[in-house]
Order: sequence, then C-alpha cells, then structure tokens
Amino acid sequence: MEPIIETKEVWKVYGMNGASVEAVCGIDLAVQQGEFVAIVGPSGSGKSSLLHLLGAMDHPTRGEVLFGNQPLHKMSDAQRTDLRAHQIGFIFQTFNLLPNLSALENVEIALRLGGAAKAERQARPLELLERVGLGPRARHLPRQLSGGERQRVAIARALANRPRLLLADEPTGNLDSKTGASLLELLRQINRQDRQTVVMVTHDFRAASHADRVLVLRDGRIRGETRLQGQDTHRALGQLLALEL
Amino acid sequence: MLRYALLGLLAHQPHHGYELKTGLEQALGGNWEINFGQIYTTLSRLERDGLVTGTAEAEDGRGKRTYSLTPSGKADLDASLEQAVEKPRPLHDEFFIKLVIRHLAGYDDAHLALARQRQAYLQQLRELNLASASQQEDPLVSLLVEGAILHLQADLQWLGMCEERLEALSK
Repeated sequence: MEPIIETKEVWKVYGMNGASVEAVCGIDLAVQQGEFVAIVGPSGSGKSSLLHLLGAMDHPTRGEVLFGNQPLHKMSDAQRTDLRAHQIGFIFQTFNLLPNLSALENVEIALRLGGAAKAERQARPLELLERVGLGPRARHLPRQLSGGERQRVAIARALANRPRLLLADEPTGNLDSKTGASLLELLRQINRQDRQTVVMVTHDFRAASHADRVLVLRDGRIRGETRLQGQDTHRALGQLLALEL
Repeated sequence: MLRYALLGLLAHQPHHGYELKTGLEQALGGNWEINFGQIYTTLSRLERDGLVTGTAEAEDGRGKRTYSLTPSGKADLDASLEQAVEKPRPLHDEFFIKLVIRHLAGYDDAHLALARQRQAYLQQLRELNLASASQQEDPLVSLLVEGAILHLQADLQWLGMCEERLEALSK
C-alpha cells in the first residue's frame, strides 16, 4: 500500500542573520490511508516546519515530500495550490474562520474555492456542520460561537472538499482541556468512521495520546515512535484505585 | 486507608458488612472489587479497638452483624481527615531507580529505556483519556482520573528532560 504522504530525508534549514537554523533534520515519515498520527514536541522542535512541508506550504531545503507518490517539488505552484485546495484540509490553533461569514458560509466558501458543483455547495455545508454537532448553530457568526464550536466549524470546513489528508496544527491549543478532549474525540470519530487520514502536531502529550501513532520530535529529529492501542479503560482505573486502600 | 473509608461510611449511618463493601465500590466508580475478607478483618480490628460496635441480628449472636460508629471512632475519623497528607508523592520512581541501575551496570543505552518508558506512559495516558470520557458523571472519580492525567503529562515531560540531559552528558 502506498502512503498518502511521505517524506524522504527531508530537511528545512532557515538562514537567519548569517546563521542557519536547522528546523527539520532528515526526517523520514510515511502516513498510510486511514491513519491518525500525532507529532508531539516542545516549541522549537520543528513540528510546525514539518507540518508546513507536509501541507505543501513550504519547500524543503533538501530531501523530498511525496503526496500520493507525487513529488511535491516537481509540481508547479498552481498544482500545489490545487493540491492544498482539494486534497488537504487544514485546522489551525486559532481557528482562522472568516469573521463576517456564518458557520455555514465559512464551510461553503471552502467548497466554492474547491470548485464544487452548485448542488454540492447547497447541501454539503449543513451536512458537515451536523456531522460536527453544530447543525443548530449553522447561521451563527464565529463571534457568537465558543472556541470549541469555532474549531468544529473549522473541522467541517477542512473536510468540505473531501481531502485525502487532514492536517491539524495544535487544534486544541486554544481550548480548555475538557473542550479539547471532546474535539479530539470528534477527530477520532471522523478518522474511524470515514477512514479520514489525520496528521496532527501538538506540544501536548494528552492530545497526542488520542492518535494511533505518536511520533516524538525534538531538535528537528524523530526521537521515538509509539503505536497506541486498546480501549481498556478498566485496567487504567483499576490500577489507579487499587493503589491506596 | 480502608479503615478510614469504613469509618467514613459508618459516620453516615450503620451498615452491615455487605453494604459497606458495595457502598465503597460505588464510591470508587464501580471499577474495583474490594475483598470481603479484608473488610471483615478490618471491621473486627475496629471493633476490638472500640471504634465501631457490631450488633448481631439474632440474640444468640448469629446472623448479619450491623456495625455503627462509636464516639471514639468518630474522633479517630475526624482526626485523620483533619491532617494534611505529609508524605510527599513518592519520588517514586521505579523508572528512576532503573536508570540509576543501568548507570551502575555501565549500560549506555538509556535512550532505549526512555523510549520504552514513554511508550508505556503514552499508553496509560490514552487509557486514562478514555476513562476520563467514561467517568464524567462521577465527579469524584473523574477528579482522580484528571489528577492522574496531569501527573502522567509531567512524567512524560520529565522523560524528555532526562533524554536531553543524558544525551548532553554522553557527548
């Protein structure tokens, strides 16, 4: 099976005042269809740089990024723009909704930019908002929504054009832990039910532990990789409670 | 602590042994079965020390015994609850001991041990996340779970620190 996205020995080096900063140092990474991968690292570990490379928003200094086996560096700017509009959905820490448009319109404009047919533009936004639990609030403006609700709109928007890859940059960074947990639960559901491939970067181990595979990034390198499994809450609770009495 | 948990339940009202067992299990979120024998041993010790009294159902001393709290039992419970917990959370840390032992043994593969430990902590964190979602209706148990999650997050950060410093040392 070929990966949805793959990096081969990819480097990103920034020049700054004559000095160079190595943000991403030779990372090899492959994400398969249907995976939910978290990349966790402290600030400055290179996770945002890596996400920008995965999202075709930046060019690597060395090495290559392949999207569905297509090397990004061989694409024209127009092709990359097209890729970002159709094949990759983005979720940001700061939600990035258009403030003067309703939740519904924010989703619809993504469909418009993605070149969706009229029928789809009419039906799909509400479907998507219902999918993320916001059907009743579809006509609200972003400022009338809570942080968690705004991020749900952002998820609906990111899914508008049925992207092959969903990229999330600290999606719970601006949310309290309870709201964050329910948002991650939603991402998991979408990942499971629709086999939506998700790659999330975060500094938060708790957020990362919702994913099925966790890569630990430090100083631009992958320092560890863990596959998480199981749904056994019983064992965890039993361990906690059995300790003291 | 079982001793005080039993005194606490009896402070509310008298109970027989089985009620104490189920009451305690419920208070702990219904996730753990408490050993009956342990409850009866503790009860008979409490009775011996005059902190609870047991009354048998039948006059010949047979049948279910109902336990109630005595004034000195109440005093003992209150004294225990009024004290702050002095013992620090154990700097436990079995993993730390293993790091030290590796060092003593002259092994230089601490990074592998750190990676395995991180894997174990992440897996626990995932399970506690699920537990947190499933225990929301029980406020006390959910507090315990959230506390455990915060500690695990700290443990994971600490592993990162170990990794960094040990790496710097070996350079």
